[in-house]
Amino acid sequence: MDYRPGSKSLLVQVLRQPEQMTSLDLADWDLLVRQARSARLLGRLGCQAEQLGLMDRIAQPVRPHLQAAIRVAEKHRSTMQWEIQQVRRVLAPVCQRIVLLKGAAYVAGQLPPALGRLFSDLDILVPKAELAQVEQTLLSAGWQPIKLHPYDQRYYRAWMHELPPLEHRTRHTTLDVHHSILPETGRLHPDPQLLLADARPLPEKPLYLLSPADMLLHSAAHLFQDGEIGGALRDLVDMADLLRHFDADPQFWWSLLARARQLELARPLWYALAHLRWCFPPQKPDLPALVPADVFRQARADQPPWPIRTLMHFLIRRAIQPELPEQTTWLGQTARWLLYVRSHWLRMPPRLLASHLVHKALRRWRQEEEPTP
Amino acid sequence: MIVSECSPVVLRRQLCGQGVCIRTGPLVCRIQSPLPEIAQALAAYYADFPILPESRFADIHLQVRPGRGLRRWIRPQVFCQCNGEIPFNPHPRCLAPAMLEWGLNWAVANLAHWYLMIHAAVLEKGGRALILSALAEAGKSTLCAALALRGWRLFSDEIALIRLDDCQLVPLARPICLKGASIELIRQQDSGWLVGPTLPDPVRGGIALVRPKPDSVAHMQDPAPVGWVVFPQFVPGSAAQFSPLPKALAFLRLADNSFNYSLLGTTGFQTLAGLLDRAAGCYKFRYSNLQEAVRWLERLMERPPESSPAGSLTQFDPTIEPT
Repeated sequence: MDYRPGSKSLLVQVLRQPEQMTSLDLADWDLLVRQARSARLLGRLGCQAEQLGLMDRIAQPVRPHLQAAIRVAEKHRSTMQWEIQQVRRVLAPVCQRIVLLKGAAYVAGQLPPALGRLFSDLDILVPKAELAQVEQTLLSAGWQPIKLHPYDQRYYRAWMHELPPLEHRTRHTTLDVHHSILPETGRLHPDPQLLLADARPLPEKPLYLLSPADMLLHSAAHLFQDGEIGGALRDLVDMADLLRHFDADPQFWWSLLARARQLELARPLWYALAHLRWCFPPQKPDLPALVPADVFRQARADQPPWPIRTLMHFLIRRAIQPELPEQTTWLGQTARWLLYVRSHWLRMPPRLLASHLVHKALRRWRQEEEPTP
Repeated sequence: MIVSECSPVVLRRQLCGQGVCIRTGPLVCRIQSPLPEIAQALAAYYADFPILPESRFADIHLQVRPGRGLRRWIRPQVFCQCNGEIPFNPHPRCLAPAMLEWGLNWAVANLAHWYLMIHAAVLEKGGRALILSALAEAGKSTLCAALALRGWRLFSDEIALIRLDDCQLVPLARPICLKGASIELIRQQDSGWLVGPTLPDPVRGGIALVRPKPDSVAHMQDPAPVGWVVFPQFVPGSAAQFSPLPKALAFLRLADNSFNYSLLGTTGFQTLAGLLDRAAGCYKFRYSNLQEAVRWLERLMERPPESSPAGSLTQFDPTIEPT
């Protein structure tokens, strides 16, 4: 198959056109399986191959890897479902609304991004007023904090948008309890009251999902504001799936733009739309685009000024190319590092950030002095 | 081409560059390493393994690398990267050959979910496989090495691969990893120079790798049906003793020792049940003397399967305790 190292990676190309899986030779697959594994998207490729009936036409030595990835993803999905039920059972008596976020929402809402997806933790959003009671209830029902250092505890409680992460004592699953979707010390402040008020109930009380627009905005904010750039490609795939799914509602796009302004998330939304357009252009010129042209034109009102825009384009395009851990390039690593620095810059005001970094550096230095077991 | 036919210079150059693709049983591993120890380890322990052309698809990608920063030179360390992940902390560089084995074991256990995988040593004699399943320190690798040196066909000292469709056992035929006191015990019986030098390791009391016999490697693509399932336990001072174990209990133990039983769900249950249905019998096996243990296991395998339904061993040896 024809692809150049400087252009979009093989993985991005195959995600855009899964039918290409049938025309790859073994050397392509050797690369693609590694790229997909490192981007946590192999299960996704496997599920797509199965859904599109391509499995029989995929090179024989590769099939077991895809089938194994489907099994792993299936296990993740059933674990997530079980975990949601456990949290629901425990919190139902004390919570009016438990809003499921990200992966949990895709599973519970049976949304397309759940296909073949891996989940690392369960994220929920609750009203800040109920936070203390929610934490107490969880602690007495078998969850325990995993970050025990007093500084970490303070870091989360004073500045972040979530409680210090909790782990279940016997099931070892991680639960993040959010009261907002971006850090309190950050530059942007989407009002959690608005998110909670517009949440959509699931049949099982008291579980809720964010509204379609909010769900997309949360994913965009997570990737382009909170800076989890490591899983960037997976997040873009999530968003592309959500857009294709919600696209059916003609009102969706306009509610998305209006809501982005209301939640102070217009800039992250622009980043998301711009990079989705770049990553997943239509397969043929006459097919409809993932993001309608007039919507994108309107979203442009919130784009950053050009020097930043060009720099960010360059960095993000570098960072979303899946890089094999065994063959990292300095350019890719630098791009990721700069984006990581940017996310911290956006996370806290400068003085707080400086003291946070000094603290972290001191701790790392002290730990290195300790003997390794 | 097999590894021993490849000149050390070429092997080293390939390891530093595109990597060496080695077939171990059903899996192709691409190994890359700039370390000369890894080239030597491949030449020593993988001499009879086939090298595949570079451009092929590899199931496992493994790199063994020198430690980062100062750890490259001061108290040098080594770490491995398997399919993009770093599963273990760095170890002293003298353990590089062991790191290669641990890395490959980890990669297989986390990858090959098209098999039911059980933490067990597997060997074959007379067309039937013996599964020795136990947790660490039970002497599984020691028994495995002793039997392999006596001509049993080696499948694996760590991972039993069980095919999901017909419950047959599939060999990997990779080197055995011995620890501590068992190294000298096995070395005494080794007439063919198969046991490698002891690598110093204060935590485990030394490590030595045992090269599989050429015959095991030559037949590494041939699966075998299950014969006996044995749960060995090293009890100092005890006489060798088999106690029959009901298949239902054996099932629970094997499921407990499995890497992916719960991941496979219903398929995992059916495969394990199918395996035990086909097994001639399941035993707990207590022993302290290695020679005695080997003799007993050899007698066990000599029994023809049709004449020995589970439990019939009680008549065959009076020292066996009742169920």
